[in-house]
Amino acid sequence: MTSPTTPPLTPPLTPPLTPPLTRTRPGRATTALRRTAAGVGNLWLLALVLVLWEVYGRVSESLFVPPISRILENFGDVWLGGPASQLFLSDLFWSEVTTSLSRFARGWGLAVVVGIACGVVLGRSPVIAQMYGPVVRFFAAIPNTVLLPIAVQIFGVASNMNVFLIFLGSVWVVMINTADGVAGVDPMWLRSARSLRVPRWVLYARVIVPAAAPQILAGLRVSLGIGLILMVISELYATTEGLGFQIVVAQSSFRYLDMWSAFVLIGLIGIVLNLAFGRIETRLLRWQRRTGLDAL
Amino acid sequence: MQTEQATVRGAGRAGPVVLGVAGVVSLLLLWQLLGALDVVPRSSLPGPWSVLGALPTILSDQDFLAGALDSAAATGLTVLVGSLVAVAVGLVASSFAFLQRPTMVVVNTFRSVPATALIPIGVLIFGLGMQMKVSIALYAVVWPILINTIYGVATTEPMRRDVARSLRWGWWRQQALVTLPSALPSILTGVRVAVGIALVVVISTELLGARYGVGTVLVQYTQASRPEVVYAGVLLLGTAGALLFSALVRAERRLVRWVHHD
Repeated sequence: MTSPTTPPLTPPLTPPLTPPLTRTRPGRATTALRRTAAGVGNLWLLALVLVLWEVYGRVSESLFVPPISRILENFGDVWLGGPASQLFLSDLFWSEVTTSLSRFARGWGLAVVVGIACGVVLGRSPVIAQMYGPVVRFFAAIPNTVLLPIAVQIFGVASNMNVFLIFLGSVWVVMINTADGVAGVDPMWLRSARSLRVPRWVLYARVIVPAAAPQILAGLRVSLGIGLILMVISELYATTEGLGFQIVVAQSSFRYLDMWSAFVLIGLIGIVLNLAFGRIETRLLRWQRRTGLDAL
Repeated sequence: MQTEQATVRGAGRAGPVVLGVAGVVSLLLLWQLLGALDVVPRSSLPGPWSVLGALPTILSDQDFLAGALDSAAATGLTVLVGSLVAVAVGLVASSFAFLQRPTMVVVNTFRSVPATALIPIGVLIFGLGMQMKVSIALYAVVWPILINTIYGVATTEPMRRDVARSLRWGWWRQQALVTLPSALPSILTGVRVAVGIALVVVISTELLGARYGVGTVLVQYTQASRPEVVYAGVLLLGTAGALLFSALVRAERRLVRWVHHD
């Protein structure tokens, strides 16, 4: 909360310049503490938005938009409150979240494997790229929720339907990004690998895929979001369990608080997945940069 | 890359077209084969010929055409309003240092709730019409444009900003003549992403109950067990989507080129 309070102290001569100046002064010992303080300080706008929501919810007394405090209270009742052996999470949490996430993991995992494999082939062979590149772009352009009725027709109302839809929605972005990344690998690296008589699989595993990693990971990040969207929509459309199904049940039985707390849970899952992915990404790319320097 | 491309020189200039056609034909054969060998039952995956045969049916269906117009209008309106709001908010948020990071925290928090999850509440608040479609899609579209605007502004050449400041330009003038032009390429990328997302979300709302639209019509055909018409509709939507994207990329390149020339 330091940054918003400093500008009013110094009259608005050059407000954008003041926070960085104060931030650079302290010694190294306190930088870690400072950093966490800054992290907390960055939350003030979010807190403000939530307070406004609370006020709106209380003033309007709308059934459909309850104040955030009541949503969080309900969230605690429905999704938390289990015994310590379940990490204080309720039975419902474990059954629904594992159902949804296992579908997501299967669909997205398959998309990652297939997407990267096909993408490498597309990126390495110009002939195959010219044959199937346009088709891949066509599939990528289909608004993928349109496939929902078809997926239900093929698989019926079963987990495989959700997995199939998540796979089909997220595979193209991964494939296109991998193909672009692989096609853009520095030809010098390929030539030096060839002159070193590197075996074929080493060439792919140690040169081509790592060199394309930044772009592959960018594709994976986008596909993560798409996969989550499709996980939820496919559960809203036709299923008998999972998070989306909980929303549908809550809506049709007029339990709006339950509905909102399910939104909160889905949001939290999204945040956790994105953070975890970001961690993995920096880890992988740090390694990639180091080998890049070593190669020089 | 260049040496590898030289090896396909045999195909000549018509190469890409020939190979592209060959790719499509091979996939059509595979599709036909899947049906002929009964890998997937005909009732869920009709052969390519019956799907092509269903194209006239769906193209002459008044409901489908009206629905397509409705979906296109919802998507267009969403992207227009969403871009205006997100670019304005993005410019304001990135003009003040104390707003930048807190804004990103808010964006990342709300972005994590997939817009499709909000469809049930949207139906309760706004009903089943255009208003519901657009407001749900707006929720989905605002975040990518906002993020791209903030990144675009952040990558503005500092020298240009210094020049504007030393010329003592006002906030509006600085935004219009310095910040906005340099952020434009990034903003346009965000808008292109947003068009795709808006389309997906609009069709999702139609599948889950909106009264009119492409999705509604396709659900009706599914329930009438006429899968070939559904596939024909999906093919049409894919073609429309692909054309839209290539048009957007082209328009983007032209605008960005203009920016670079400036």
